[in-house]
Amino acid sequence: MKRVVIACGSGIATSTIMDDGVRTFLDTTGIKYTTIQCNILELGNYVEGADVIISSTKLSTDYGVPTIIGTAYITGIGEEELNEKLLEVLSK
Amino acid sequence: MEILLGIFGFISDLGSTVMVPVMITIVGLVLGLDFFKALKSGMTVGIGLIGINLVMNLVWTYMTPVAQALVEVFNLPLSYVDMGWSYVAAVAFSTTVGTFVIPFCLLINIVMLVIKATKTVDIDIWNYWHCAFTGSVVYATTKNYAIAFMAAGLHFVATLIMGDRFAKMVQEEMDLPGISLPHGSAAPSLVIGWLANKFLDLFFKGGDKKEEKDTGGIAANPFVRFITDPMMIGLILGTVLSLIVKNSIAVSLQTGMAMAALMFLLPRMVKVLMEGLLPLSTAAKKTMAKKFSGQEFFIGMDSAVCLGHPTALSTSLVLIPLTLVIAMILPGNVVLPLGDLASTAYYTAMTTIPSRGKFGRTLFGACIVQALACYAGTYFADATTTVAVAQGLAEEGAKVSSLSATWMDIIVHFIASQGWLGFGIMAALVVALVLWHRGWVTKQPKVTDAE
Repeated sequence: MKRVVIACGSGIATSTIMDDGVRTFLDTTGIKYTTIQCNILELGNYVEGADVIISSTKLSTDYGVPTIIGTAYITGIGEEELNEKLLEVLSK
Repeated sequence: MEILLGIFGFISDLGSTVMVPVMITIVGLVLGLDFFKALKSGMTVGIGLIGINLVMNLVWTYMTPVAQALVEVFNLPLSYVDMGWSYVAAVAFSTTVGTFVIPFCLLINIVMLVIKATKTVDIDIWNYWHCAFTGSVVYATTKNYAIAFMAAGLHFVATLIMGDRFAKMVQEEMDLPGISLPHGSAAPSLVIGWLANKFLDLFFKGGDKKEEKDTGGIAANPFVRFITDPMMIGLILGTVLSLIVKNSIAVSLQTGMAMAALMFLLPRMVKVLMEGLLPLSTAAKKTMAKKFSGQEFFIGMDSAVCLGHPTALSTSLVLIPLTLVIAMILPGNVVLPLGDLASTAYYTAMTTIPSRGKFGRTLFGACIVQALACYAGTYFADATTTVAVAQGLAEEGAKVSSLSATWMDIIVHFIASQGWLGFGIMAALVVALVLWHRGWVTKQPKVTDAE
């Protein structure tokens, strides 16, 4: 089971769109996963055991977990590249 | 017109938990969703509203008595509880004006793109709630749909223009090419941050070069992270305020736990509502992306894309206690900060940009933004409560407001409350803004021409 942590400013709005993007893509790959949404300040409480962080913004702290900027799920621009990157990280 | 008003009247008499699902379903169909998807969307939004209502019980059971006691015992007039932006967004979207704001603003955006009056394709559908809020409070004041939609429209046009004008600064400081922030709270806060910096430039010449850029030291501190967790803010504030008004320790701890639950649960309920709006947002995004793509457009996004800046994070933590101090010493303020204490980073991120990441300047700007937010919360306290009660999202006698309204909402609402005269002024302002900004847009270099 892969653990995907999705972070935005509130853990409510932007991360819900990114969560939808992640789910839509991962469902096509057959990878088993769970996602959790949180705000960026809370990330420290959720990164334990996480396989990847999808963030709405560049993070200033390194949590030792691969981190991907997920804004392409919001704009729709570069969504395929983002999917590939996510797949690459999760296949390791 | 009469028939249309009749239909509006019938639907809004159904109460928000029925009306909103019906309206969202209609809007979903208009945006091209199939019937089942549209209906599911509408119902999810309605379920979110019911969830919010359940959680809101905590406020009038525990927090309203404390707020009232603060007034009586200490003569602190903070009788309106700040419920945070997510609650106000839900209230705004639950009104008749609010539900139609999404297609209305999309239409305005398309028209402005076509006549070259903006470069921003605003796909950030959820934050149309700021316009929904303006429209809803204007309707509560004027009882006139035409004036309410004109107010929402003026708000949206002004936000798009601010998004365009500050796009370059945002892109450079936050390293986000092609982005603009046509966000109801972000854009007006950027203006304040920019003015605050101009003001500081008068005293500190050369942009105080000595000041180092912040590296996010405070945000990395585990203890600071612990006490600024929304549920901890709720526990501490609830307990302390209850003790201050001389409640017993047992009652105070109960109040603290109830407020912790509120801070934790309310955003989750709003998330349900947001999930319901997601298919609408996706459909709108597809339509917009098909029509307007290419490099000469900015993608309008939520200010959440800027929150990772280290200065924004550390100043947001310092701003939490400062906001409480500001609320207490600000003459005339009636809002007790609570919900939006969890969203201070949205404000500091915006003052970080014109301050170019300098800690002191960012914090100074953010304090001014918060003071204005207190006054906006005060100005809209009655209107917010009236709308929330009418939508069944607050009980009779509860007093709710937020720190999410801005100086821009005040200006628009003030003009709109002048009735038809206000309508005329707003229409003139829209035309003037569009013409003025169109001059700017047409002067911008086109990337596609250069290639």
